[in-house]
Amino acid sequence: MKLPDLTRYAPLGYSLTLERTLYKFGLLFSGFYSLCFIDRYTRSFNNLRDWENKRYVLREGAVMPDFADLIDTAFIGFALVAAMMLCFIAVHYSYHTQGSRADYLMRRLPDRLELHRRCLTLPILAALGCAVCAFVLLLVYFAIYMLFTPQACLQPEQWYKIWRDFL
Amino acid sequence: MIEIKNLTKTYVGKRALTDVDLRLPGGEIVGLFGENGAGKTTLMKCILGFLPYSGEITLDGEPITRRNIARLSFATCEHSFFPNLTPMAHRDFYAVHFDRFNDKRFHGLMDFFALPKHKPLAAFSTGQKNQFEVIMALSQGADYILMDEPFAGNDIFNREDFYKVLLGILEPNETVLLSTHLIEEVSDFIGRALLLRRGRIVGDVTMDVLEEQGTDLMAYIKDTYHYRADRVSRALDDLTGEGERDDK
Repeated sequence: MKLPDLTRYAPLGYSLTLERTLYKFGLLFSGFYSLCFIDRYTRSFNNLRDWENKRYVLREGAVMPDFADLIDTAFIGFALVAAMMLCFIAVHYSYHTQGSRADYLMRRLPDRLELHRRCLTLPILAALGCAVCAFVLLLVYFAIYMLFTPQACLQPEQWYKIWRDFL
Repeated sequence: MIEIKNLTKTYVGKRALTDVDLRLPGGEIVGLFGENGAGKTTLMKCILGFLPYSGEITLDGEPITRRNIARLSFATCEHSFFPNLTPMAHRDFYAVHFDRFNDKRFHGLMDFFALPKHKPLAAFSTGQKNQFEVIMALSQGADYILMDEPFAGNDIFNREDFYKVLLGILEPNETVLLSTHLIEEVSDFIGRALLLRRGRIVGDVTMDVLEEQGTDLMAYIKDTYHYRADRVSRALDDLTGEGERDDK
């Protein structure tokens, strides 16, 4: 698949290589780091049951910890990558004053949005991309949590509790 | 016409411009002179809207906004191009953003100064960078071309070529406001001189008037600035103690 031409949304003459590399690796590592949820979930799941007579038996009164507690900091990587991308906004603006005062040209263009379009678009899109990836993984992990946790061990209002803690 | 009324600009407690009143009609080449810190650059930046100010600046009666900003271009010794881009990439960018971009003038001037069109500007010499800066200001298709010491770093032959080319290519409606310290060099090329001192306009004269008075620009400027011809010899005397020895 051919990637869209991003140079229209980057400062003129600015190399996006570093940002692109950081973004790709950032997303990759964030995705890996989020797998710590699976580890926590597996351990909590195993605590729900005992091995008796060559089969697993649910402990009486065993309760699965809340999904929000298991998620904990699993998505911190995405937050950091998003924050890093937003820091590039400052880099993009300052690029216009390094080696020349290209900001003078940008500030006297009839299109008043051109400078901001070139400084803001990609970092904001990248940060939104992080948020989307994190949300998709959240849905996947939530589905795993709901599908594999025995109904008797589930506490109510799991979805609501995520946002209650988050907000 | 650019009209400036009661323009005052203050930088953190320091007045850079004080009650500047000025009219720049179309079709003039105006020299803007003044010592370092007189307010020449500040005046241009206020006209372009880069700095907040008090007072009024209008272009044909309208405030200068994004709607009419394309009628002004700017060449600065600080350079307003993108060092990583080639001249052709700049040409493409200007052509997209400035409806009246003059492609013929751009190529003509690039060829005249023998500037490479496909080499990043970062690889240009200082003189070439200055030339390119002015070429873009002249090619933008603006009615008012503001130049802030555009030839700093260029050799004399280069500058003289530029003055000649400029006189040859300017359309009757194009106005140039040229800030420079090269007073004698531009005196045959400008039609009017503006003198700034400590943020105030202290002189505004046409070259025709100076000719009628039988004086030249340098003499006019020295007179307006109350230049003391003996200040150098007096300073040297003070520094070397010659004066004291003479007294004894």
